[in-house]
Amino acid sequence: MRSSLTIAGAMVASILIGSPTVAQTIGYGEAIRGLTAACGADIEKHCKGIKPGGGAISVCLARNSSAISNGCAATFEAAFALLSRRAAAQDAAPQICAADAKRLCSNFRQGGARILRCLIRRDNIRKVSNQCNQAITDAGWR
Amino acid sequence: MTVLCKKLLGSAFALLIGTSFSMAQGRINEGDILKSLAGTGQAARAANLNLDVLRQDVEKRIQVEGTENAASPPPVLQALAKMPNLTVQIQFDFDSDWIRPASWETIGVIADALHHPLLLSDRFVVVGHTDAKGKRDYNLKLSERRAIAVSDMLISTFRIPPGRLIALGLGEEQLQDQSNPDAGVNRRVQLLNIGPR
Repeated sequence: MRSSLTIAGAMVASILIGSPTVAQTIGYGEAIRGLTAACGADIEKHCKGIKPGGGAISVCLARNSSAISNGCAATFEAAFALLSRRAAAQDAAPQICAADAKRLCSNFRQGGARILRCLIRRDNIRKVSNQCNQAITDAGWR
Repeated sequence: MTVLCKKLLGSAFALLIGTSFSMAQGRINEGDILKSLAGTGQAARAANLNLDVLRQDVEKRIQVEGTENAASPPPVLQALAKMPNLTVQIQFDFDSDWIRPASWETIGVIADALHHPLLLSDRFVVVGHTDAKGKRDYNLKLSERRAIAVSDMLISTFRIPPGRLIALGLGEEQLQDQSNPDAGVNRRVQLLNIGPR
């Protein structure tokens, strides 16, 4: 599901539901927009020159937690969690879809996203398991 | 911030008359990127683009006086200019390869498109360009560092496999607007689809 949940919404949802069995994910663009909307100015001020990746920005914001804006302090961990969730969904999808791929796409060669393109074909949508369809959606692969 | 998403299948001249729109008015979206880049790997194959040759040609060329803003760029640059591409403006800190947070979303949206099944098997050249202010060799290096920074962010933050990206700096050797060599529109990053491995 390409969720349009805001970060705040996602936070509320995760508090209410605890750890949902189906991960809600949003695209990288949308997730990073949430971060930069809340923290862009703080990153410019306190983390200039620090390259994103490997948690460096998150560490910088945490180190400067007393100096950053309240809005940023309240949201940055959730924003990074959204990035991680999309990444985790992409890692998990091949395993979740392995049986479906074997059943429906065994005549497709590996690699080059051929299996994925087979699984998301219109005529396969109803034949693919719910878990696999959800995994593909959570990975942002349609 | 200006974004240009267009196919450049015509002459190199087409580069000069591209339409641009402001990021403030409309942010870049995944659909536009897919439209610009999906299935365009064939063009790179057809152009027989050799990046090692291209790098060497450009290195040699910037040592030669009088080749700035030349009317007839070397064949390899002409071939590159004709290729379908996505052109975006990324905000960097002045004289630095640090990408300002205002442009992180653009790179995130590009990542979403690169993860899409239509592009998932393709590799891309990330090309950095500067305007013509300053020295050519300095600009070449700066644009290369900036292209590397963009591809590093795609890799480290947005999980694009490193083998799918090649960073290339072209400095001021391929200006977007040759009649205004110092204009901001020249400072840009392009993505070229070079097809599957």
